[in-house]
Amino acid sequence: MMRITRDSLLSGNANRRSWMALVAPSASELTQAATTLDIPESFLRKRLEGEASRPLIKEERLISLQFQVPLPKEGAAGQFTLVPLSLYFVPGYFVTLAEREIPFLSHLIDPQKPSKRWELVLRIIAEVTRNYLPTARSVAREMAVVERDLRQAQRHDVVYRGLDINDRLLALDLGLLQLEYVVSEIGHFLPSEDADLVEIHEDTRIELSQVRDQVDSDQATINELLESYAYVVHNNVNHLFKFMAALIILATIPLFIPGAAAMNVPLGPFPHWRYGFAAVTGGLVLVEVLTAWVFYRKGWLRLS
Amino acid sequence: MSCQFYDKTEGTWIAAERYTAEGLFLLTPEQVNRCPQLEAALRHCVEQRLYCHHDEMTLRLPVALLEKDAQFGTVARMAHLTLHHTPRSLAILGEEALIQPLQQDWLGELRQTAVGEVLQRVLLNVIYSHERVARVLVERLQELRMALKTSMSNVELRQIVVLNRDLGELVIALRETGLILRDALRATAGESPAYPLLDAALREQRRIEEGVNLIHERYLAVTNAYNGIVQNNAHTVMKVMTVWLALLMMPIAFIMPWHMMTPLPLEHWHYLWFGLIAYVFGVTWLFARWARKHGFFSM
Repeated sequence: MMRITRDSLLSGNANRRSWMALVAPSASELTQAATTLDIPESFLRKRLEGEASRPLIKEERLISLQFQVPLPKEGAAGQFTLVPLSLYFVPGYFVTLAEREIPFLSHLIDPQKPSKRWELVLRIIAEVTRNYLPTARSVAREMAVVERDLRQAQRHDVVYRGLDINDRLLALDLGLLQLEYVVSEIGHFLPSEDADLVEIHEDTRIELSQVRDQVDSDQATINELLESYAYVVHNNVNHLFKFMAALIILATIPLFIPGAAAMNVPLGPFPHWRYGFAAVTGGLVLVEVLTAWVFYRKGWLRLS
Repeated sequence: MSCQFYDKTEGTWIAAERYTAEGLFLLTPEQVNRCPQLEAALRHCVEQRLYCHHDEMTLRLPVALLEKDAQFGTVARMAHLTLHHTPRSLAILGEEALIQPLQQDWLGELRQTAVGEVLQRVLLNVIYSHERVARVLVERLQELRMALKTSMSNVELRQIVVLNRDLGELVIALRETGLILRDALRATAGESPAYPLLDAALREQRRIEEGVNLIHERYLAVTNAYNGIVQNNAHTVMKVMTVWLALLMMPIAFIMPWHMMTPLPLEHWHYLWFGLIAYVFGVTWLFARWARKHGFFSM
């Protein structure tokens, strides 16, 4: 989809620029956009294809920036998609290019109150940074669910969930790293006499650094915990082993107590004693109960 | 493959007999002995990784490649690309596996490109090669991690160790690239057209190094969890075997009292045998149900 909003922001020399929003553009829309902007189509296409390139490119009549925007998945807490958002400044136009609609862009780009280009970029980056924070929090919150399930877990599914959380936090960290690079590079372009802009830049940089620290610390925590998760699962399984070994011992006792009265040798009065069965079985039950009690006291017959 | 020369006017690559110190050239190591101008610079560069002489600069940079290993599957391999840059020429020297993709990726987009810009492209390509390989290694790590779900052997773990080591190699190679670029930047005059290109490449190298290093650290940190998964697989099998052993023991244990050579309860009952069988297997079945509910059988 291609959408053009006229006079949406101010250029460096205070001329008005139009905002061209390209959302999952078709091949023909890309060609049309490249012709309108008078730039090679590959500039747009390569960014869309996610090919490795510099996040900030400055050429004679073009500035291009790219970073990842985390967008939560509907109905799946802690799940998100990192959507690459590319921004282009070409004479007369400000272009946003993404595979999905970025909801906050239309709030930030207001034709009634057009802002300067770097101010707008910094505001977009600040908004993206703010999006990283709740995403990272919701991913980290999943650790609590994993820990709750860990109590009963006998399989490594919980470890896999931990590994998945680790991967998602790593994706967020890499996205923030790219954003941090873009913000640091933007610093070279900002007019040093514009104190407001420098302040917004500094605020964005600090905010970004704080979010990154938080993601790093969440990830360090889960990295440390993952090994413990594996040991907890081992322990849960070992509890079962312990329980079953105790059970097998209890099941072995009847093999030798009644077995002693089942030998094919003269058994004295036993074959004719009326209470023989009751006496041996009673003894058996007594030994079983005593053994089971000892095992229980030692915790060998407890499952958790 | 013969020495390739890029003809700007035609916009195509053509086979060239020799390096002429003007324009853009692609060469393989075997072709260097036919280029006396390059030989001396390359010899210095093999020893020092960077050789600067007047406005000539020769860099020997590590490039990451992927290759198939019979034992460990897809692994990373480091090769070297040598760039001999003068204000009027750029000679790119490397093995065919490096040269061909470079040539293919550029064809069609090289028209009107200055030597300096091509140098920057090659530098970025060298830097991105590590990121590309890192991505493939991470995909492979994730596949192996899923394969671990049912594995009880060390095959996957050994492959994971190799991939982790390869990721470490990528970080080291990127650091080496950074050192070479930094030295090249120091050796280049600030007003030289190559200076901003090297500076931009160095900044990009730092960014990519930080990213690959982060991936390497994070994946290395969870390796112990993989050990836990493999051990857990073996434990799970032992758990199920033990519960079967317990189940088989139960009917024997419950029926044993009726083996005694004493007067037995219900011994004159016609259906005692059926009754006892039903009793012992009934009790065992109840136990099996309880065990199943508590996950004793879950694999």
